[in-house]
Amino acid sequence: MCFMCSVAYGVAGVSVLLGNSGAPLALATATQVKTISSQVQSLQDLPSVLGSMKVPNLEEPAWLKDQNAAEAAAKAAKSVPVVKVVTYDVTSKGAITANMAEFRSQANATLNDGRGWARLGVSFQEVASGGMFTLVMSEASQMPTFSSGCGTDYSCRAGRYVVINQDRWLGATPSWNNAGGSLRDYRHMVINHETGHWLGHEHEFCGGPGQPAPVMQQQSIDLQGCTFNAWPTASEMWSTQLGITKV
Amino acid sequence: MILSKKLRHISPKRRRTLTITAISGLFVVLVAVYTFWSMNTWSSYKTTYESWQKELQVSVDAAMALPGTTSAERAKKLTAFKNVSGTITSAQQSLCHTPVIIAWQHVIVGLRQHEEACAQTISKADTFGKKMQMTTSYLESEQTVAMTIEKTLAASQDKVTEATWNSQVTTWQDADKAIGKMSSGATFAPVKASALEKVKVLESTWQELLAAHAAKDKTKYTEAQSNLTIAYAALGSLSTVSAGQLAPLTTALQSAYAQLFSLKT
Repeated sequence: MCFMCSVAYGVAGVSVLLGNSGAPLALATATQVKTISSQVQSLQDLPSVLGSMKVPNLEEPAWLKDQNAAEAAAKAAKSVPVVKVVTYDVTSKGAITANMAEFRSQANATLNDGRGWARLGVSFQEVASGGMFTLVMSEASQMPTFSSGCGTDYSCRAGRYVVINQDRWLGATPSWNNAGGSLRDYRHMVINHETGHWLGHEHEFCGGPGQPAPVMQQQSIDLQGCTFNAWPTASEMWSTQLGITKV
Repeated sequence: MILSKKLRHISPKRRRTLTITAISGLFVVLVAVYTFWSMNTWSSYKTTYESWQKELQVSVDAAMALPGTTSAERAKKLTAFKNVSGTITSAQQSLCHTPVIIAWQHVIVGLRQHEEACAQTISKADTFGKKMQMTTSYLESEQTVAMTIEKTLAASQDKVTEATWNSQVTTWQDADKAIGKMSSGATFAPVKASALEKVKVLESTWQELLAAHAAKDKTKYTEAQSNLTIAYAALGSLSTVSAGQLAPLTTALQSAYAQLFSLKT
């Protein structure tokens, strides 16, 4: 008996014993095979990140709000029939540093703005002289010369004179500025307020906390819990001066 | 001493017979030991790669069973899949190794089949490991891009005031740089290119909006605002681009899995 033969016999026995040699193992089920594909796909982060994405909600910038409001007002003004034309002339008193051309243009825009007194069905027209009222740009120190009721701090109305204090026109008031109000809105407010006096309005009071202040409220002095408002409210739409009871 | 004294009394013929018998006996014992050892080695050879294959599948299934709802869970699951690839690489060094002293035995058909089956298992496991590695590498890149976008979006998901518009441009510029810098495989390259393109559009659209805002130009502002909506929607389509790139990888991985675990699909 040769050595190699013996070993070969022995090992042949091993192979017989082991049996089923090299036969593939059936370990996975069809479900598992399908699962690995879906499991791997579910590991993606982009679908969840992008799926919950929203287009940012842009807060309308102040200038756009103004533009939109002015456009809406102009549209609204077109729909209010003009029943009366109110003329006014413009002048100044004292040492004036403010730009008068800007004053004229902004005052006219405010008076004819669809959010303002134009809602009475009135068109304000600037004339060279002999207007129904006179709009004045006054140096602060000259304010008391119009009336003893006119102080150097604020604007006022004295008879036919609608007098705008130059200091307020150029810098509004500290309370207005501190509340973040824009100078343009202050100018709208002061023109509307003082013209409102000429139209026949007295001072109004805040209707309740959080409500927009009536334009005839002394907003430069105290808001009384109201929010700043540069335009006459619906309840202020009347004028004894023009004989308009209620719009 | 006693044995040699006893042998002296035995005739030379009988002594030769005894010597041959002793040597033959020793030879038989050696053959028996070698055979037994061979049996053991081959047996463990078979069980080693079979059990390794089973353990591998257990690891894959365990990784699959992990939850993947949140991004943190998905990251953990991805690590588990990466570990599976690592297991395969290290096993290639140790499995299917036959000791030299019995290597000649592969001339025996039954044993050669074991060697071939083991080699096939390793080869299939290698294929599966490579596919898994490609897939996990892709998913890692995908998660990096997703994380960058998520971080950028976090700054703009609530109401955005004009005061923060400038920072929107900066955050998208940062996202652009971060995605541009990342390294990725060839399969992810189209997704990266698409992400960069979409992020750049967002960046320039925010700039358009800022310019229109500075100029108080309502027409341009409105245009930029609608372009922004389009740009965000385009970014949303990035997941479709990614799904398209991932699909062939998962198909290949699925096929490699079926072949490794000997299941015909």
